[in-house]
Amino acid sequence: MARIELTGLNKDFAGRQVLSDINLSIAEGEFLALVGPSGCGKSTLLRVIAGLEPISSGSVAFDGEPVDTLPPQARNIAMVFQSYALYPHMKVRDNLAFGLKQHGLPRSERDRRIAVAAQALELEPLLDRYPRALSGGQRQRVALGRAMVREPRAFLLDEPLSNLDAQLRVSTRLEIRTLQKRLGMTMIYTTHDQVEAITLADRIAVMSAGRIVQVATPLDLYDFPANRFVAGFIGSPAMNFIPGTRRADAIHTAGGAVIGLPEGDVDGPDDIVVGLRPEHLTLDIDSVPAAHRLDATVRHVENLGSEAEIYVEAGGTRLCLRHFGRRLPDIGTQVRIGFDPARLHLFDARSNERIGPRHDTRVNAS
Amino acid sequence: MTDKLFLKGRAGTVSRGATAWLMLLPLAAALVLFAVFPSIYVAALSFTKSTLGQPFRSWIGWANYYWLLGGGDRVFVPSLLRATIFAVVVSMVELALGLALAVRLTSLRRGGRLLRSVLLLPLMTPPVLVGVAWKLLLAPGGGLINGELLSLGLIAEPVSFLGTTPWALMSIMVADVWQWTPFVALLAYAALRQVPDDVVEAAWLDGAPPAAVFWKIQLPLTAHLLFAIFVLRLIMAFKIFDLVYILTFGGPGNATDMSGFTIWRTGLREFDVGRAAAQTVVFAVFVSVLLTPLLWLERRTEDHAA
Amino acid sequence: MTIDIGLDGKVVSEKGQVVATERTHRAASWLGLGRMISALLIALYAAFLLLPIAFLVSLTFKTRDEVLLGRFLTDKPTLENWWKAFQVIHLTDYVWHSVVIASLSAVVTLIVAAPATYAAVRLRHGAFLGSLALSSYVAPPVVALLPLFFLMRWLGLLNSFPGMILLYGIMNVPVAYWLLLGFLRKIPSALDEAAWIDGAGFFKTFLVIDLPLLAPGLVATGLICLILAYNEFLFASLFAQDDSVRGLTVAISLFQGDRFVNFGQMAVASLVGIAPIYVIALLFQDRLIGGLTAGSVK
Repeated sequence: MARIELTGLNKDFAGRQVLSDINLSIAEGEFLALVGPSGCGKSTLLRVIAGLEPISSGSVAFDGEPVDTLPPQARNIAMVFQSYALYPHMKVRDNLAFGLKQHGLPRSERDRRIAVAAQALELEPLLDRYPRALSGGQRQRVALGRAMVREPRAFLLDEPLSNLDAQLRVSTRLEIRTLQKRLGMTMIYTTHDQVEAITLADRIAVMSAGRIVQVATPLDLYDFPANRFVAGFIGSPAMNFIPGTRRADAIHTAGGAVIGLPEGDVDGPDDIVVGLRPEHLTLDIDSVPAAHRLDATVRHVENLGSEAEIYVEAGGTRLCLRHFGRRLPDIGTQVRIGFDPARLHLFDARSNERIGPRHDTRVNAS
Repeated sequence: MTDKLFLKGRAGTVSRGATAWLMLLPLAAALVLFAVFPSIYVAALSFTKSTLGQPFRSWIGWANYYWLLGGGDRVFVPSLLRATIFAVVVSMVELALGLALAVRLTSLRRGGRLLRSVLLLPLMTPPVLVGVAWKLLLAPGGGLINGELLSLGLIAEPVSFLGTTPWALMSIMVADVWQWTPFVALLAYAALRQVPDDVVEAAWLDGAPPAAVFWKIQLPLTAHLLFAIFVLRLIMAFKIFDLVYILTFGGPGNATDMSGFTIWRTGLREFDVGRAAAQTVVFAVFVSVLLTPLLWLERRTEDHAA
Repeated sequence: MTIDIGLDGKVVSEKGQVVATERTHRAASWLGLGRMISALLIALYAAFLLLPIAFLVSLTFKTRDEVLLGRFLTDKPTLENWWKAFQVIHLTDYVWHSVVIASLSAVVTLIVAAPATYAAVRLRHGAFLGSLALSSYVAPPVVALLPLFFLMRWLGLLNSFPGMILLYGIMNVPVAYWLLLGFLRKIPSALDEAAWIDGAGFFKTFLVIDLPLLAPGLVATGLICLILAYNEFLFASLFAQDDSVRGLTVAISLFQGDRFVNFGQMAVASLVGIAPIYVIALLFQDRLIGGLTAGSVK
């Protein structure tokens, strides 16, 4: 398994900057997820690492050795495609053997590796079938197997679960994670599903418009999003944003809340956006001081069974809150919602960058 | 072990670009032989006095072109116009008939396979034999059409379809339409199938009669493809040669002379290769000037639809 | 759910909701009527398409005198034309020449066009050469007639099988390129990429991944090119005049002015000449139609 380093990667295509200034380092045995909305460049980045797409500038290195000029054949990486890309005219066994034959492996070694992979992925009964005779889940496992038998330097997975139904997606997710840990694979995984990224990855790189906007562990990404884009993208339902203004040493928000600022924090912009996750808003306000309450009207209630998502309007802003109580407010009623100031996020309204609380204050925040 | 394999792969792979160019080599050679060389050669010939036996006898500058466009050649310029009229008329008729047929085909429930076999027949028939078949059908003595018209008493004497104007040109058109309408129908049918069934069904459920479904739904959604079919047929129709050769040999007089045939006759019957070359250049330029805007428009509508 | 269709033409469900009005109902009956008219028109058109061929068939059974009547049917059918035609015209030779030249030229066409298509589409190099080939198709073939005549004479390829095979092989490259473009685009490019990542070289990927998957398209394209070559007349009339290579179209064109060949024999020759192509057309109907429409509809 290899360590992968991307330095100053740029890719222009037809006058458009598809990738800009990508710097990223993936440790040996690390599981890195690339997330972002469709069209953000994550698949292109994966294809650049595979050698399928040329780059305009920058470098890709495996274990410190640049591979930019190497064609995909010579990079010895494996890739699982969104469509699986199984060779339709070959049986499963030959699909698995194809890459090994290209590398001149003797038959005995090929058979051994295929047997190992087939066992790990429960492919034995499928080996003599053609891909068209397999279900979606089975095809997906064959695609994983084809990557595994290669014993490559790294695994690249391009939205590998997006063609599976919801149930299968969750179980396969678990399987991939187990396999990756057991074999110590270096794995780069693209997905537009942030839940998938959070549950699977050691680290997540969030991409937007061809740039990496933040790289962090799943927890850090959730707790300290670097800007409004990441804050809105990670977490479901999405984070609420409430406009606010700094006056003296406090922030006054729409809906009438006043948030005291830490002492000594005098710099910074006047126009501020306060971010609050739905799970950090509550209808149970007995223990919340008056300054941390908002007046709101219930607009819509979505009952999910285990919990409910309550959509309210406070001072002209729509907010969502997750409610775990069994008694749900009626639509149209006036409610007061409270928040924990320790869990809020502050963003500069103009630049959309995070201005607080900072990472080193996590201990206090929790 | 892995690292060794890695090195082997690196050494053994011919680069993408080199592979591509090697694979393109035959095409490049073919283009040189069939496009580049003939264009240059024919352009050069057009400035010479040449015969089949002795090309490039002497350079005579623009003389062939003066003769051609300055009124010396009374046949060629009309043949250009006639070819244009022919190409436009048959392409339009074929598109209209082919489209009508294609629409009927979409509502056909049975016999589609049989019908498609019948449609393939004219398409597969060598144009020379299309000419022969129609010549036999249209012949004044022994032709089916004259025979039937006479026996029905609709005409008193046999009509020389291929020997009189305007029947001669129309006869070539009929034969061309007979041959190519099935081709247009098959392409138009494929185009109509591109319209998703649910869109058409939604229109039915909205109470639209078949005519409205065609004019308001199917036609707008396939217009770019139908236009492409039209342009393709236009290109093909400008190449008309075989039918003229078999059916009328340009006659009566020069009434069915179309450029492809005119050039052939200048070069290979009158053996004036230099003049034939000049005619060829003018014909090629004429056709490209006429078709380039259409091809440009076709590409634009295609991009627009995509 | 029960649905009642009322006398007013309204379709009403159990709950009394109107689910369809008379208009939809009327549209449905229009469809029925339209289908009948369609069938009738189609039958008429099919008859029109078959007419020339059928007339040729009827001619083959007529005596010289009966031909002059210009009627469709004959009272005293004769088979004389059939055996005489083969005596007067060396039909089998000409058909054989055409078949050999056409089929081998189709192979040449595929050998030139298929790799080029892969290079342009998958390796993304030299697509402009393909575009050039396509635009060369716009030019009438008569443009190349004289230059190629001098070239082939210089190379000693006039009136030779290799010459004609090469000529047609190259002539049909634009058509084949266009058709194969359509077929290749239907094969997901991820398959090639997977093979490259698996270590297969670019050319090898073409051989072991694309060619097998392209097989149906290659067959259709090859057949279409074969038919185009078989049917070609302009080049053949100049480059293959000699009896030793003369193909069907040239032979027919020569005999149609011959006073020793009557209408009946002419018809026999035509039908025998078309027969190989019709057999192909009927056997490979689906392939051919798939091929004809491959490039036009993406």
